[in-house]
Amino acid sequence: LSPAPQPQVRSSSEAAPWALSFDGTVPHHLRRWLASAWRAEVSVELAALHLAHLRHDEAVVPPEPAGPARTVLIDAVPLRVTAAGELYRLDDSSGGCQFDAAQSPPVQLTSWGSKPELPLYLALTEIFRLHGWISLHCSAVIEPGEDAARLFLGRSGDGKTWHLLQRLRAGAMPLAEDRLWLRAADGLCVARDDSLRLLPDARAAFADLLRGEGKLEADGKFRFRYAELRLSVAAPAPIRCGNMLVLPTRGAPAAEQHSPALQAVKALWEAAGLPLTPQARQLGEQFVAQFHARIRL
Amino acid sequence: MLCTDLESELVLIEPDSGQTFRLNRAARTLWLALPATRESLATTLRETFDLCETAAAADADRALRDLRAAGLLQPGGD
Repeated sequence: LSPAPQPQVRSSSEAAPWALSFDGTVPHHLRRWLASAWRAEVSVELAALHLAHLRHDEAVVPPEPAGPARTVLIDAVPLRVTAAGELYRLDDSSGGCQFDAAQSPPVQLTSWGSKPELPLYLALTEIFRLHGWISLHCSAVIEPGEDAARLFLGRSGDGKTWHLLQRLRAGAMPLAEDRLWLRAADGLCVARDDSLRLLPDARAAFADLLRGEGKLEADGKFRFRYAELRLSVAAPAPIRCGNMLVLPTRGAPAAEQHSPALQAVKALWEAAGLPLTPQARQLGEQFVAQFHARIRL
Repeated sequence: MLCTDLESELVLIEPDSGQTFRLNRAARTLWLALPATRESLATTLRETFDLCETAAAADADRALRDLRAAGLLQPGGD
C-alpha cells in the first residue's frame, strides 16, 4: 500500500516521537501530548520511519473539503470526518486536522484549534495504518522461554490489564499494557507503552510486583514505569506476534479461553479499530483474515 | 461494512450496530461475485459447486433473498 518509508534524521535534542516530526508551529502543550501519546520505543525498524510531519496554526482553519461528512465516535466522543477524494478532515468544536491519504511519507498533517488532540490521534492512527502499522488495543507479554509475544484482546474493562498482571506474577515480561504497534504484513510487534497504568484495585492486588506508589494521573489511574516494577522487563525490541487470546468476561481475572471464529474476527476488529479510508480498510480486512488464521481456537 | 474473508466462510460486520453476518461457502462465493446478474450468479454456483442448472438458479435466488432480507443488498442491487 505504500512505498518504502524514507529514513529520518532528527536531532537527539528534539522531543519528536518516532515516525512523526513537527516544526516550530506546534505549541508546547501539543508537543508534550505527541511525545506522550506517540512515544517511540527504541527500535531500528521504527526509528527509520518518518510517516508524518505536523504543522499547526491555532487560528487558520483550511477550507472544508467538498465531500460528505460523517460522524465517528472515539470513546463516545463524536468527531466529524469529511472526505473529498483522498483529502480527509477530522474536527470537533475545539480543533481539527487534515491530511492527504494518497501522499507519500512523510504525510503533511495540518492541525488547528486550541485542542486538536482527538482529531490528531485518529489521523495519526490512520496514517500509520495506511503504511502498514496497526495500533492494536491489547495487553501483551513475553512468556518465559518463548520468542513470540502473547497478546490479550478484549474490550475496555474485560480484564486485559488484570490478566497481564497475573501473567507477570507468573514470570512473564511485560510488552504492552494497553496498546502496541503491529506490522500487518508480518506480525512484528513493537511496544507502545513504557509503563503500566493501574486502577487502585489492581495496584492493591498486585502490590508485590510494584515499587513505590505510582504517579496518579487525571483519570484516576496510577502510572508505574517499567523500571518501577519488581520484575524483568522485555527489551524494547520488535518481536513476532504469537498467540492472541480473547478475554471473554468483564472484570475479574479471566481464564484463557479460545473464541470461536466470529468472536475472534470481532475481537480483532475491535482491537484494530475502524479504518477511515478504503485503503486502510482493505489492509484491515487482510490483517483480520490473516491473523484470525493464526489464532488457536 | 467490514468484510473478513476466512475462505471457508465470510464474516460481515456492521460497525455502527455491531451486527454480524456469516456467509457460508456458497453465499461467500456469491458475495465475492457481486455485482452481478441473477443469471451469472447462478452460473457461478453451478460451475463452482457442480450443480445442475435448476438447483443453481434456486440456490442463487434463495441467497439473494436472504441477503436482501438481511439488508446486505440494496433493492435492485442484484
